[in-house]
Amino acid sequence: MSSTLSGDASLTLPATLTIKTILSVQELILDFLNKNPAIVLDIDEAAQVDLSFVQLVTAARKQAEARAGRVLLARPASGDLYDVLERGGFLDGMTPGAAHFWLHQEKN
Amino acid sequence: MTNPDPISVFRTEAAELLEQIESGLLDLTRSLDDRDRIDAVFRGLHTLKGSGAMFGFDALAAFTHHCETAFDRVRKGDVPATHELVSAVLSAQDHMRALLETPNGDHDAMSAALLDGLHRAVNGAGSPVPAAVAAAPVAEAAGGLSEWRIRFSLPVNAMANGTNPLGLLDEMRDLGECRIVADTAKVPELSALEPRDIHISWDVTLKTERPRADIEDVFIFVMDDMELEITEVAVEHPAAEAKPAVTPIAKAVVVAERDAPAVQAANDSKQAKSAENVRVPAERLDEMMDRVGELVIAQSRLTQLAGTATDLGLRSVSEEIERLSGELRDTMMVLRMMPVASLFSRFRRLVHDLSRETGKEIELITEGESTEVDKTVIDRLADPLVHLVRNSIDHGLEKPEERIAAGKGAKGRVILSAHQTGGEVIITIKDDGRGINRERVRAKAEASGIIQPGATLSDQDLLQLIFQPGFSTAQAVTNLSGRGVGMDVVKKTVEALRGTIDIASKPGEGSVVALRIPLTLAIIEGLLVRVGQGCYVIPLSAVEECLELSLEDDLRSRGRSFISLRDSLVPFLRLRELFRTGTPPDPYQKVVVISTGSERVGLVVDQIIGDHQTVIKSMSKLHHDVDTFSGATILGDGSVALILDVTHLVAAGQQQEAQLRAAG
Repeated sequence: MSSTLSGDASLTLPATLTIKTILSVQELILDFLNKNPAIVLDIDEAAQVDLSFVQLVTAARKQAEARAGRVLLARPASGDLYDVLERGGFLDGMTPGAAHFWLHQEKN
Repeated sequence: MTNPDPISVFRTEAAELLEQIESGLLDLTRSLDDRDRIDAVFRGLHTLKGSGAMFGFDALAAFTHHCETAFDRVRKGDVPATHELVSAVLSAQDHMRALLETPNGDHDAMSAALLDGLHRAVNGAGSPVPAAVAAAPVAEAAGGLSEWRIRFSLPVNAMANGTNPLGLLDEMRDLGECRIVADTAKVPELSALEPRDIHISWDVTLKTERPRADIEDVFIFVMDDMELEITEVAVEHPAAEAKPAVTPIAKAVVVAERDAPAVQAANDSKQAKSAENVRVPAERLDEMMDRVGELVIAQSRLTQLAGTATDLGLRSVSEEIERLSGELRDTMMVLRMMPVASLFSRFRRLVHDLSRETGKEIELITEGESTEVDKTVIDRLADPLVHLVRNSIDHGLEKPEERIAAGKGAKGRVILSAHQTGGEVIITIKDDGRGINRERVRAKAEASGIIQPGATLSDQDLLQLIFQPGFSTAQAVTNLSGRGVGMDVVKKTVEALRGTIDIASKPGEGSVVALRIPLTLAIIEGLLVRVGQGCYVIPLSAVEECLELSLEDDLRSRGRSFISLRDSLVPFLRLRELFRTGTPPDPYQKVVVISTGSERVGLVVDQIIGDHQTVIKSMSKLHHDVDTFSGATILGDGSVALILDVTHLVAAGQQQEAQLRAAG
């Protein structure tokens, strides 16, 4: 199930979302977030992801929430992103809010 | 300001890492069972591999992996550390530099050859494992199944340094049943985030039969700077099956050793120290030096203008700016200074390699490593010093059996030292070898046409012949020296730095080569003098004293060109004649006595104007070969003053003295 609303601005992210490119990805999201309070991140299933990206998205969520905005994912985490979440210990003890954000699970 | 190129930053850090690995390997040669050194080398190789892979240096990462694996086996006590293994990794480490510099080059053949050597060193290492290494992993034998709570946050720069936190978590999972929970509470908002830093921490519950040391081992590469708390929550003894499955331990908190207050304080201090240092590209320092040079010239013009003005306010401001620019210049000079330790450290490796190649036992002693010199001097002196040390070892030091026959110890000694005197730093390379064979030097010089057969030469002149182009006394061309190139290049390089080379040698006792190099190449304190209509600068560090030469004294000394200075005769040169000014001498000329080491000469000038902060500008190509001048500078009024080459003038004065003495 999609969690996005029609008014959310969508940002398609590049295929490499690792520490090599993380500075430019930060600039991209920050710039987009400054222009749009509610954004949807479109991450390709085949995108290369590492922990720095998961941290970046967490930081983006914090920033949006502090300014009454929001960040959403276009689709539930899969591929590399899911793998990083699993290996990084984000799935064990996941809060309902986090499960909703990353995996699009319904909040109970 | 733009962010530095991460690849460039990685290259710089990898180069430093390689230096640390090399230093660790060389230390290891002295104590092969030093577990701390083994761990340090292993950590270095691991970090290099990890960060190499992260930044796309795949060939480097793959190659380094083999060395890391070899050292991992040493660390675990599977194979002993041997001289062969250390040498193989040292050679491999050179190759890593090549893989770092030209990652896309054709390195396959060399990689294969080196890995073959590494393989042989590891598998051929049949000697018993050193006790300290072998014992360590066994020290904490595996016990029963325990439950551990591990809470940790990594050093903030761990990811940037090549540590993959996911890899650490995977290693933890390999230890046993694991529940890992990430904590993102400390991750800041996006605009405040430095995305290469890590702010996530973890809380892990682990059930394992492995000892605590194995858990700590997961963090071996980041242990120094991280926060780690390991608590044993419960333990189950395998032998006591009748007992309850899990026996709670009353809050037996086992905190990793590094969390002890004293160690923590040391770590805090280390972190604070590291935070105080800023890495600046050398070219930015050079740019800044140029700007300071221009400022000094502009300030000099201002001082000159203010000197002729009646406005007291202008004079006051001018004096203030003069003081500030002087302070800025001094600060800038200090910024460019580096300890010669950075230069000397590379000789440990050189001596190690040469010792193996030549079969000579060599002890390298370094002294005065904290002596500081301008960065450019350090950079340019590296190659000449390598050549001089190679020469000392190849030509100077004897084989062990020869030394023993000569009543010396089997181990030859090379002493590399540095010390500062005035505005110069003196770097000496001393060996206790056979000394320079003067007969062979003369014979070779005569055969090469460098000197006429039977030419009369002072001992110093004879020894200096080894710096002549094409000169070599090596009977066989070796890998080290003896190609007849190099020593003349050494001399040219040193002279280009406005330095000189002195050489002394005693048959059977050894040789000493001393390089006298000015501390800085950019700005010097100079003494501004007038000769005829032109102004000239004499480096103040070379000036001993100034005397008056009356017209009567001048006339009386004609034909002799000596002045009597406290009971000793000092030769002098009339710069008016040397420069052919075509002007009559001033009625009261001055003699500026300059010296290099023990040699002195007087320079007769028309007027001493005063001290002058001299920004050194190099001479044009047209004037590059003019020996008398080492450079030029721009004066306050925009005119150019030439800087006198003290070394050349002292030599000319001494030569004149020798000729006059010979003529009686």
